[in-house]
Amino acid sequence: MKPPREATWSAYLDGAMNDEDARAFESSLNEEERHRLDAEVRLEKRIAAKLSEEQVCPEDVWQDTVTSLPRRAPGTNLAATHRHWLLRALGALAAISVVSVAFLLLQVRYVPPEFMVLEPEDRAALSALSETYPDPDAVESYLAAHGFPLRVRIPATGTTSSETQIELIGARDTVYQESAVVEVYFQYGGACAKLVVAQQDSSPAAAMERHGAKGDVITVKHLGRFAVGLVARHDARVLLDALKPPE
Amino acid sequence: MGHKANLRRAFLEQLERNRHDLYRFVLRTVWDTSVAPSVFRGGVARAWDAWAGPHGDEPFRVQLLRVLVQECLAANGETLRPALPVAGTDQSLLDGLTGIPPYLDMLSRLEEVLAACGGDLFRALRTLSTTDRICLVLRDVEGYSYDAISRILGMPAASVEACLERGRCGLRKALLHAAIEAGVVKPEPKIIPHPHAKRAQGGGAQ
Repeated sequence: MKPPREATWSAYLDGAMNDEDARAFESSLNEEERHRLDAEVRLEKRIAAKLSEEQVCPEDVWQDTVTSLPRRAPGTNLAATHRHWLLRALGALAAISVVSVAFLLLQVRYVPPEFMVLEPEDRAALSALSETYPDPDAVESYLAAHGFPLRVRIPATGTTSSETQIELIGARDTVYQESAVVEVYFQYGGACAKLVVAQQDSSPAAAMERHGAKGDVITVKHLGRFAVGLVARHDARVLLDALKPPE
Repeated sequence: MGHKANLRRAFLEQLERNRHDLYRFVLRTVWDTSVAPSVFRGGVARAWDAWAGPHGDEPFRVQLLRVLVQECLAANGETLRPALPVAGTDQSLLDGLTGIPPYLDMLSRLEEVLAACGGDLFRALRTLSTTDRICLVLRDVEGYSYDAISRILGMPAASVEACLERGRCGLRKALLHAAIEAGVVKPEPKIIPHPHAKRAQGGGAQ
């Protein structure tokens, strides 16, 4: 550290002293030192005057400066703006990821209603579940008794092979979210299938439409005010012709 | 949209008001008229990005100067060179000058010296380090205190004080040298030992 005596010369010339200290410093000087101080002050003023000489910013420099300023508002640093957008993009990505994961979890956890799944899928079990005789008239009566006055007409396949013939197994009713559903069981093409009948504007119909690709629902057909869904694990679309709208 | 336009207008108004002083600061600091325009342009563009707005904590001029200091240092290929007081010395640089007899002679005939060597004094400003020159300009031209300069430069106030002293001392030495070269001030007489003095000393020892 400099002793105070020497440091005061600089502080005095810098004008960094308060009035009281400056007076005390001046009065501490002898005659010779006072002359020197006067000369130092004059020299300092000369240097300051030289540095402070008027300097004009040329018009072309000024115009260049103003026109080269970015179009964006001042104070919006480009890097910061990029960072801002990056953060927003990352935020959006995170949100999308969360929604996607949630959707996938929901999909994984989603269990289709029983009427949309071919379970059981063997003839004997379906026959055992059936509440009607395997007869078109009996099934038609059963449907009508449950509010679905549809006609049952087994389509001719044109062959005598048991593999391609359509066999009616029976029918039974069930309930999904307080809406009545009737399942009609068939054997066709060496495997079982069922037609699910529900009111057009009911929740079972909506479930079949919404989750058409889920469960074993292959397609949904509309017959008047009824929706008929084909539930099978093989292509049995021909069965949709087995139910006809009421005359 | 309106807010952005107002910000733009506020910045440009303040820039216009300080335009000549800021350009002078750049010119005095880089000390090169061919470089000053691009340094000024670049500094203003950077300040535009970093501007804290019309209600920022610091005055517009201080914000601009802080950015321009960095631009000037970069243009001169220098970094901040704080001059810390050297521990253990009992003399300041300025005080050390008084030990040189021609310096006191120069001070006693200052007007004559400046009339003959004023140009050299101005040229000597160029030989200072950019940091010392910035401190001198901010102190002598802008009138900022040690604390204000230390905030603009981002270095301790004691370093600012030391830089000012170093710069001031450098200018005085340059002026003294020019004055001696011009014959306005007589150089310090060299003491040449008398040829017999050594022999006499040697003889005395025998």
